[in-house]
Amino acid sequence: MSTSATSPMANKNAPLPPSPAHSSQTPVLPQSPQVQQPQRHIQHDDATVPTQELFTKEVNAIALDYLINECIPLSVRVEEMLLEGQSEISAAISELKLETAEGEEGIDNETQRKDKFEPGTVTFLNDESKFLHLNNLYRIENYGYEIGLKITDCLIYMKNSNPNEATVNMRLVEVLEIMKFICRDVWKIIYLKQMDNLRTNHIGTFVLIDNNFRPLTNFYSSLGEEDTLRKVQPYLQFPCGLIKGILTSLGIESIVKAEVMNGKLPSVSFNVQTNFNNGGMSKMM
Amino acid sequence: MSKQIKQLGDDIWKTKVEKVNSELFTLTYGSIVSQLCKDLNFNYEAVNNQLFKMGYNIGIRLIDEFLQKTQLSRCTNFRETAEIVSKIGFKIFLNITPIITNWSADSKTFSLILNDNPLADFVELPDDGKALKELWYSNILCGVLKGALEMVQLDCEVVFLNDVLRGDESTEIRVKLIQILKDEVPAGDE
Repeated sequence: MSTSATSPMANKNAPLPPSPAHSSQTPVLPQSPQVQQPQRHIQHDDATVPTQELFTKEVNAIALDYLINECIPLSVRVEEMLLEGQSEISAAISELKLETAEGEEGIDNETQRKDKFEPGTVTFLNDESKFLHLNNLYRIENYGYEIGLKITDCLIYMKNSNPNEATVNMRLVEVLEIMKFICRDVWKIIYLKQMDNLRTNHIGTFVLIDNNFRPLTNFYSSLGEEDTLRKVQPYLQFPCGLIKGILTSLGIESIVKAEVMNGKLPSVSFNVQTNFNNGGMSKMM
Repeated sequence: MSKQIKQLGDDIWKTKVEKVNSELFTLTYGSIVSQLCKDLNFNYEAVNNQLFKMGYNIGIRLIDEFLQKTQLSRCTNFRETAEIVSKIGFKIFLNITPIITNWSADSKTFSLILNDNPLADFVELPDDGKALKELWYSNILCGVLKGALEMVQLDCEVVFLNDVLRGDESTEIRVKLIQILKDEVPAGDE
């Protein structure tokens, strides 16, 4: 039985130095914040765990907004780098074949790359072939997905350890309950408001509606409404991935699509298709 | 003066700021960095670079929010700037106040020591033999400082010197004033 004194979570002000034990595991990924550990605490809960301190720290909501928003240009830049990497490799191969050794092209590439970075602008949205490219949309969705996968434990633990909060219904067995969890708890903590509406056809499809989706409240293109709606697409991939990730972490496969409601920002609807019809899971159990 | 600055930062944090849970923020940043490392095939130099760019982009926008919330006017000297960066800037966005130290003799360079770093709570760097030497996990902060200071005409160099994640004793950001820029119309904004 681990005591709280030795547990990493109790030590939260001092990030752990990398432990040698780590090398034996599959290596590589930066251990993004370790969500598994709250769960462990739930299982071995003992009174000495300083749960009150655990989830009381806060940061400015705008910092999180900026961070999430910045994923989109990041993804476009990464895509460009990967494409350049490929073309450089193929260029290198063709150079090898021709056995010429001109270094100039490489330099040109380098200067071009520097010129492309135009901070504070939205010029990356001008090239639709890039920001609407499937790779790009997929990568952004994946950013959300990875986060969604990890926050479920964290959220449930956080809500249940804070006496001021209503506890989450821990019997997240029925799909409908899980959807309510997303609408109420997840949305509240990330976007500071709950979803406005949840509908279902009772055979596995859910529609979640947010009439004032926070990240898009100040989203306008100077080229008019139609252009705005086109450019909004990558920004919707992130919450789609997020929902999908949370559902996956609770054992539900899904397809999530988002669209702007009636072409009017910032109303967004999320269409979630799951394998289960409502109550189907409990029947299975 | 220093006390007034601290008071202002505390007041803004308490009354004017919408807040989210810090662990959620940590987790989000961690996921992004981890994904970025994968995408760039663990080329940590490129990762540092991309994190810096993210930060820079954020910094040049964040300064608007900062000025709107604080209503501050121009600093009289760089020491005052340092106080404001720590006690108001870091305070109202991340709810931390880094220690200002190691001033250079010409008062143009100082260090920020982050005893608490919300980006890096619970984080361990991978043990792949190079992340500990090459990755500046929180490099986004340097970009944010660089971008935000540049928008108030302070051309600075901002780099990480130490990071507890790498096994160093403290997390230290070095800020060096290169020059004070002249007020100019930004390029392309005629």
